[in-house]
Amino acid sequence: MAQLPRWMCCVIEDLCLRAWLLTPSRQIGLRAILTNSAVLLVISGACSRAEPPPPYDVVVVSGTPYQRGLQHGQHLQAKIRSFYTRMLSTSLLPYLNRQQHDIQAVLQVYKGAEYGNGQFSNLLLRESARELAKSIPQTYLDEMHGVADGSGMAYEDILVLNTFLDTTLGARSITYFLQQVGAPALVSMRIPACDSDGRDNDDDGLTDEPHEGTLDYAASPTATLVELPVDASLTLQLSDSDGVDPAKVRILVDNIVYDQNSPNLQIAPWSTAAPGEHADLRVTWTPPVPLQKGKTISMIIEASDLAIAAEPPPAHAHAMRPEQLTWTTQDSALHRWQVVNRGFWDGTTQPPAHGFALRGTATADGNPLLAHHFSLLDAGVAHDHVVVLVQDLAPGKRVVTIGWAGLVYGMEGMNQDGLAIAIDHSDTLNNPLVDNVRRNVLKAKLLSGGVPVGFALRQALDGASTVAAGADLLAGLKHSFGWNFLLVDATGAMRVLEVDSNILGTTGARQYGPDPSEPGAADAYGRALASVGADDLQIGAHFRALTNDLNVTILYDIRPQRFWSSYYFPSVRTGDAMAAEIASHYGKFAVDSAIALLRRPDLVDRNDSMTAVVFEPAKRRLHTAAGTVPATDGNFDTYSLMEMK
Amino acid sequence: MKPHYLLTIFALIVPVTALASNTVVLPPGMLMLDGSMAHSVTDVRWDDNRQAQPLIRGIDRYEPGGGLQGTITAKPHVVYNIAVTQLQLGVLENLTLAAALPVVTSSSINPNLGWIPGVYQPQMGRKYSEADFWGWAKSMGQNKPGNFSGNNGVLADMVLGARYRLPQVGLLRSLGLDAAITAQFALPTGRDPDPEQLVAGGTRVWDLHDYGDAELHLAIEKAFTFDGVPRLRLGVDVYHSILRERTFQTPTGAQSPLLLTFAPYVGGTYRLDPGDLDGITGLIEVVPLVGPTWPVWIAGHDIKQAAKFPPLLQLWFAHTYVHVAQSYWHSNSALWDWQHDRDWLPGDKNTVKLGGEFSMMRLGIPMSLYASYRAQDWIPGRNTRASDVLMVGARLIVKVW
Repeated sequence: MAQLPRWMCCVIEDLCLRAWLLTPSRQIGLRAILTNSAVLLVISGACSRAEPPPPYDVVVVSGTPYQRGLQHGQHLQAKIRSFYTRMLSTSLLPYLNRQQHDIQAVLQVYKGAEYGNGQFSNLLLRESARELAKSIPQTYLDEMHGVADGSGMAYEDILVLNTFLDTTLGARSITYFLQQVGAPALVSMRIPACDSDGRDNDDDGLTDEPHEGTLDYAASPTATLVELPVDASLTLQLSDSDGVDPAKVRILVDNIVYDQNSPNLQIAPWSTAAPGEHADLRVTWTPPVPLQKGKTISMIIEASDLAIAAEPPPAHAHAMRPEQLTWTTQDSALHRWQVVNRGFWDGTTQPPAHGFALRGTATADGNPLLAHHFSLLDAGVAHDHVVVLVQDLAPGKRVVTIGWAGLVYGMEGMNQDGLAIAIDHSDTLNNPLVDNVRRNVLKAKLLSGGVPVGFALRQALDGASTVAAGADLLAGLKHSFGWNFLLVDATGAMRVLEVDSNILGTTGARQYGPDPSEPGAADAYGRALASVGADDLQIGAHFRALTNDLNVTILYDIRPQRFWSSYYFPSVRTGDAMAAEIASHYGKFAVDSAIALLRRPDLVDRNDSMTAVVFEPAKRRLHTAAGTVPATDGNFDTYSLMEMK
Repeated sequence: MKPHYLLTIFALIVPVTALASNTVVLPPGMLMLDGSMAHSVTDVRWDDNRQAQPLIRGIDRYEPGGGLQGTITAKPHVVYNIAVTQLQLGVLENLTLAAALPVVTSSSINPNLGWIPGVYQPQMGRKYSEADFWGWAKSMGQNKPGNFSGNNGVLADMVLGARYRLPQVGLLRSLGLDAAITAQFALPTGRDPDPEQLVAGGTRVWDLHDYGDAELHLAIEKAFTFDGVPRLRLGVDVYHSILRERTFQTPTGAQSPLLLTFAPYVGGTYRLDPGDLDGITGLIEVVPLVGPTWPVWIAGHDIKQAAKFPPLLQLWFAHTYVHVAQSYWHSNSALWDWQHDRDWLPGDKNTVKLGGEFSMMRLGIPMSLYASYRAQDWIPGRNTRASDVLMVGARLIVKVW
């Protein structure tokens, strides 16, 4: 028997049931019974078809913190266990174990026997979790105990589940930084044509001064040079103690790839190398044809060294972070700071997490919106475990977070007063793990500390009603890593808070709104840090205010985020694209257009997208998409916070 | 796809009566010993759109925070060799009892793993190759699965059955129809695959997925005679097959920590409620050669008795359409259940069978030789696996009383 169409199944079943129900009992004969039974039996067999579970869970809990956690744990028992197993046991933990080789080479404590037999990452997360727990308020510890009891898992497993994000990002920042230390570096640039072109190419107010065409490379959010001759060649100096592999040098200019086989790319030693050493590489790119005047050009530089690292497998050369620089050609009439080092999408990176807030003149009805797309670590797992968790803390105090099973928080949320907050990670070495190395040097452990970010969010949502109160509360916390918070409330107040762990006592939180006249809210040129108008703000995975998060020597020369973070250039690019879209739709934004912006292909991380949401703080409504990768491919389901059950 | 077993599928046919006709019964006191060898090959799965696919979906693998490393592809090739011994005994004029003892003599699964590279990995300066991935996986305790070879001499689920030929009265008589009811039951004598092995196969009814734990057939056939000789037989057989719910051990990841660690959230065991089968077979049987017929000893030297023996050569063609109902997994994890349910949605399979039997009874030798070939990949199915089976066998008939 063929599978019947669903509509046909429904119709037949309905008809049979009606016939059955409408038949007077005295008229029920064997024939009718057999006929109806047979049809129902056959139809039920033919029509039964498994349906997928809902893409995410919506759970409403109430009572004391422990009771709420207990309900959470009971309701999501299998998913919590699944999330722990799939995200940690079979993904992150074995993955982090691979880093032990590199880490124990620097931090001797990890050579200890207790860290052997695959226990390195497990102990790392647990020790760090215990340290982080010292900064978690008791109410949330109680809630996690409830989750543990409800799910039947050990409390420490739940604690690890709620803190692994903070520890992992801190550890990742260190291992990624160390990888970059061992990889080629773009040291300097030489553009001979700049020395005599009659233009101020480095935008320093001087024209054709000596060595104008020679500069040390520094990662920048804006253009490196301006007004270059259209036929100017660029020479790059690439350096690595193991030697730079010329075969792996790739230069991309506006998405055209040049390598050692390209006639427009010359690769040669920078100078004669000393015996036993490797010479730097001189990589000269010449435009195949003169470039257009008045154009913005971006270049991406990729390189690897000649040494092959066997650990962790697979064997690989040390690859440099793709560096990115931008310049304008002559007659552009733009200053460096007016040109974003936007680059272009070459398929090697994804847009990181980002969010934006709109209000007043930016939205069609003047009401505030907060839109957020969080992406970081899906690993084929997280999207299956998304939970919209509604917590009735007390009468009149309801909070919703969009997170994951077993976690008592999310990376975005809103409370009954209309305060909505979204969080993006922002790579920094100004974190507790580095601080431990600073304090204990080679005897250090990679222990995180401070308030885990999700608990910071919960404290703000649970305890504040307005942006001002929330931002102040968050600014007063000791943070576990670099984070960018975007806060919006029902009145339309909005604010960005950038934080690191302030391990030297010199940085800490920086907050700003869209008004560039506000102290600390503008860049060196008087422009708003993260707004295109008076009523918008955005965040990404890079700092705009906290640009010198750490610049110090701790075993290595540690430099600010923009010099090493793999998220930096993609975040600059994403922010610029988002800003352009916001500007072009200013005054017309509503929920649908905010969703459409989140779904723009060049803003969507197709690998590690986790959740997407648009909050309407004034209406206490949220529109959530999750359960797919990317999350923005899912339906944005609408919920009214006070009506969620 | 979230991996389960790379493969546990094979199929063959173990009819309770190996005869082509579905209404034939043995005379009382006659015992038929049937031995056959089946060679089963499976490498195709029909998807929801009736398109041929590899037996399992690709498995996406991710670098934590680094996106898709790539997709493990597999085009498994599954071979089972099975020896089937059957005994049939004519008990009454219209009733034959039967028992089938299938023994897997060997089985092999070659997963034919491949790789589709994922996204560029900046820390490597390249995309993961297949060798890169398995090197990466090995550093996390996961070895690349190899070929499976096993089940040598392992008993499959034994089958007991009975066929009752309905009295040819009333409508049957007036239309000249033969009709029979056949019931068969499988005994759980087979073996489940090792749950910890990524590539493994079992020998249970579920693994066979070709006959049920209990089946009820109704067959109607009509013989056509030309020049006094029955040369053509047409038949229809409808059946319903029930597969009972069964419980399996959940993999713990002891052997494949990255790909088979399910027990912590699925539970120590899980239940499977296989979808039942509803089938209909159309049969055409032709007799190109009836004789010669000799008054041989087994006919008591009676030429009339010898003429009642099967013809020298029969050929048959059959087409079976089987509707397969949804199979449901039941565990602690609804998501895990769905990841299996979706590969066993309701569907169907089309089996085309060709065969022939050479009977030597009219020549005085109480045995026959037969061969058949069954294909399930000639006509597309839906949400089912297609197994092709070549079977050869011999039958020996003995008068017991």
